[in-house]
Amino acid sequence: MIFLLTWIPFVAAFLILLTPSEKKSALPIIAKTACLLTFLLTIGFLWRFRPDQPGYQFLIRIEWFPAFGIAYQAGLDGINMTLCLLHALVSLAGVFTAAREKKRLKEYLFFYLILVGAIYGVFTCLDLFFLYLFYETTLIPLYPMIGIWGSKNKEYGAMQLTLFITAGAALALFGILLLYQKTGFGTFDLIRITEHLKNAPFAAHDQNFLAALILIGFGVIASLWPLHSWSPIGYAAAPTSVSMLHAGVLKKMGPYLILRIALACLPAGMAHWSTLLAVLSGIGILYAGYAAISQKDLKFMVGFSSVSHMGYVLLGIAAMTVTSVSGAVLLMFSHGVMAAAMFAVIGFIYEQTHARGVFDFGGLGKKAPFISMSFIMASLASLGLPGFSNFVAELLIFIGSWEKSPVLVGLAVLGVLITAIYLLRAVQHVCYGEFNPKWNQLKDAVTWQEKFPFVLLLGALLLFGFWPQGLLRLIQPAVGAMLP
Amino acid sequence: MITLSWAILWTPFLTAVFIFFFLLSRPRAAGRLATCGMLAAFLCALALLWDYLSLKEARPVLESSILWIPFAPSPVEFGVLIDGLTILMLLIVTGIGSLIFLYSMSYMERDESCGRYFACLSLFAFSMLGIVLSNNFIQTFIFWELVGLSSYLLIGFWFEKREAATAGKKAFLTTRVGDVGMMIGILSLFGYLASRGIGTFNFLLIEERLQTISIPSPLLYAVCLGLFLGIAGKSAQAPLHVWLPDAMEGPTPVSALIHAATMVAAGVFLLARLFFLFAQSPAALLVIAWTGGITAVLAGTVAVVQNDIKKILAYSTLSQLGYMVLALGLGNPYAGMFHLTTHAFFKALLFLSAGSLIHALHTQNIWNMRTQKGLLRSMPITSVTFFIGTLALMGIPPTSGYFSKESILAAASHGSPVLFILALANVFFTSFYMGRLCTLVFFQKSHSARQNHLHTARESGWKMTIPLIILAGFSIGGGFLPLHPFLGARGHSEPHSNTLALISIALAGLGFLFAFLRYQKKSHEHETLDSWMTPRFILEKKYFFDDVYDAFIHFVQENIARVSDLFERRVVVEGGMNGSARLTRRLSRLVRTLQTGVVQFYALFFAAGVTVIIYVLILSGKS
Repeated sequence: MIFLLTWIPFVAAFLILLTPSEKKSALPIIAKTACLLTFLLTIGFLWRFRPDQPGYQFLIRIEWFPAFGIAYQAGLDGINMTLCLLHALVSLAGVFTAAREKKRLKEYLFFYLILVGAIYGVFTCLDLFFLYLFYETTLIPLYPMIGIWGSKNKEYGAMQLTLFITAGAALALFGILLLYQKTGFGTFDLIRITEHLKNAPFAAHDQNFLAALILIGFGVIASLWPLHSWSPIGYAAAPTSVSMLHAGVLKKMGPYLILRIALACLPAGMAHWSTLLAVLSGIGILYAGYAAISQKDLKFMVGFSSVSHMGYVLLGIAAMTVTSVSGAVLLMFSHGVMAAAMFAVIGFIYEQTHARGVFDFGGLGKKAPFISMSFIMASLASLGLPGFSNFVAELLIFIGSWEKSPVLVGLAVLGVLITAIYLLRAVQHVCYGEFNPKWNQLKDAVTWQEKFPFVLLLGALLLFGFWPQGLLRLIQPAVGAMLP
Repeated sequence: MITLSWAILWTPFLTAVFIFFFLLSRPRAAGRLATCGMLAAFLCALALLWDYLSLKEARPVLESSILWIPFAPSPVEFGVLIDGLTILMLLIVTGIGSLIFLYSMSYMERDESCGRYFACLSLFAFSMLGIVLSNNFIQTFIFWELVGLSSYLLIGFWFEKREAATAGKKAFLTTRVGDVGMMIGILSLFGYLASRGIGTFNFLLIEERLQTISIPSPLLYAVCLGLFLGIAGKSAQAPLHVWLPDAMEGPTPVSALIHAATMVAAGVFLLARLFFLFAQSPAALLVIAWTGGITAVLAGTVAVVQNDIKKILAYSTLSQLGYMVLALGLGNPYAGMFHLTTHAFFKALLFLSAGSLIHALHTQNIWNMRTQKGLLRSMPITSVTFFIGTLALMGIPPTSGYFSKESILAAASHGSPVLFILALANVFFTSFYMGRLCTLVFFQKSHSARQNHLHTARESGWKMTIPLIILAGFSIGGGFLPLHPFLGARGHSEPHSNTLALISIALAGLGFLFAFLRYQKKSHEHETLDSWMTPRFILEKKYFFDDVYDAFIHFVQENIARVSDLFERRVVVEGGMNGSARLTRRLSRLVRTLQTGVVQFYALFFAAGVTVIIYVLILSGKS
């Protein structure tokens, strides 16, 4: 069943290719159906998921190239279950935005679905070969999507983003191959490798070297400071649904793979680098927060904000306690949903006005109450207001990391204040104040198709803000099993 | 009892949610629902009081909670803690809250976003009740933040006005500065307890454990100061008081709610709730006492030069809060909470009366408020109730303010003499600025024709006057309320001292008299205040707090942000990213020169390569 998550979008993508371009109305229907199906499937998995059962669930294994020990193997534990839910939410919300694309809709939706399927592949696969394959596959559609459908400095942004992540991936590939070779029983099976390394860990210097490769390689996509600079530039250039998927979900592949490979297989190497990682994350939180304060473009601001928030995730991972890592996973979910909502708001306004400067607007609260409210709620979630799951996640990270590095946690708490500064400033200039008559044509979201993405995303944040146990009951046992 | 307290907590929340989803476009229904919800909560609180008093134990403490995040090392609960302090605060919040809600129905009826107003107001009450009922640090922090959110939404309620939007943001950010301290305080306390194997956030558990283990005093000092920073933010103590005067941009009933029953009371309440912790750190108490004393006098003096009736009241709140914090800092939570209670009555009364005046006169400037017939005649209920509130604020017997202020002064008389003098001086300032206000607004008649349009001022409707009358009743009689059963465990009332009472009444009377004589004949403001007082300029500038902060934001913070941004552009992007791109391009150019396309050239390289390889092979073969 679980392979359907990957293959439904892929099949739908080829269906779209087969649909004649003239049948404009059929294209969005196919795309939406595919995303809805995978969403429902994910909910189904979530429903049948047994948190008390150790190990992976819904496991399937299809031998592919036995000579090299390559098999398509997929399964879910609490961590990737949460991330699949994140992806299901964001991709479903994103497809409604993607379907409004006016230029070359067919190709756009094709790439979108390939991207969606590949991300499911990364999150479900438990075989290093396929994991890496899908990881690289996500990069392929991104380049044309940003380069063709993007805005402003799009070629530059597309280039930056793709090159940076590919370079990181190359390092990580080196690490993965070394891992494959060093374990020495010729398998890419991640479960077996993890099990084996639990009992017979590598020597310290091997672990350190491998962990460094993985951390840097996947740290790039997690926008670890100072490897983050592709992120604001790329997000600013990308079309709305790509920004949503990228900031919301793709970026989370970095910390996810760091958890899966570095933390689970190479705990000593991880511990070796943890102080450095924590310091870099701390710098990232404050630095990106301050950089966000001086941005005049909303998308750049949110881009830096996401770098800053990934700092919290990495800080939580670096502390390596059950509480902090669980908080980090919950923040991956919460920040992903929040970032998607934020980019959806900005995209919605940009679609109509072709403006996205912090100071371009004013008084949208009266003119477009729904969209303003979504913006305000996303901002409040982002600045860690209780009621949204982001608060719980950050709180757990703070509690869990305090014993390891109180100073950094103190700085991170300060980072929450900085977040509030730039977001409330943006809210004030966009939604409050006198209405700028230049945007008289602006329409609020009225149809359910326009409102649905916001309701879905913000509703999820509120649901798990009030009931964090709903996700934590999945995350915590998985994290507990992973940590030494 | 537990069910009742849960009902009190969730009723306002449910009304807020219901209004948000269904009644946003039906303002009248929203108002009715919200008021009924608040009233129901008040009735529940009364029932709770009845149940509590009929309990047999001496000072019962009830607790009930559910596990919200049941994590092994640090379970986070969500629960209620009921003791006398809780019940007292519940009654204040829901009781005064109901009156303010009722008043708002009339005050806000012409506003088209009335539905949003009541949703936010209910949210505000919910957040405050959450703090009051909370039984652990995390829950307190959660509702603490929600109070910040509600104040942000309500102060910036008229968000089309730039000042209102800015004031809302300022309130949120200023109190959040405090919250950073509070979070760090909580974390360090928890971190220490966890390292001793008793990681918990629960108030009662921590109180119990503190009897057996002692926290090292530097750490305890830091914890207390961190927590107090949060308290100073919400309770608007210097230097985090700057948001409160600006918060006057919100609708007047909101000001009444913030100043009397919620928000600023939250800080003082928390100080009383956590007194078991603060009491162990005398050094922290000293800081708290001084902060309170200084805030009281700072605000009391600034109020003297304000011309906006709401601003005067705002500064008077600041100075009264200073008193409460001073009392707690002096180790007397009883006096502090007593003053909190009486202050809630008379400050709500003053704000609502002021709102009634503003509603009728359409101005907030005290120099423009006098009417031809005199307000006493045209708006008798408002005027009389305002005057009662003034007497209570000045601390004239037998009003409630007299008793509570007296107990604070008595507590101060045992402390540092400087603090005592500050506290006494503030009695004088308080009656001086209130005297100025009353003289200008009530005791002068308008002679000039240009203010004649104000002579039409009429008394407001019953929805506005009934709350005024009830609050006036409590402002007079509140001092006789038997609070000891509620606060018995928390300190003691000071023995009554006649000399002290005489001194303070004399000071209050003098202040009022001076103000009356001085402003009786004045019809418009002149540049000089009085050369015998502190220079007017400093007061008008409010001791430069805002200027210093603005300068800090402008010169320090903005520059850090700008430097980060520049670093990003110049170093990370330009140097790192584009630089590596350039390097790659140059390298490729270098390599490209080898690709000449001339076959002879390739053949030469080929031959050279083969020669080298053979040479190496021969060499290695030899050795």
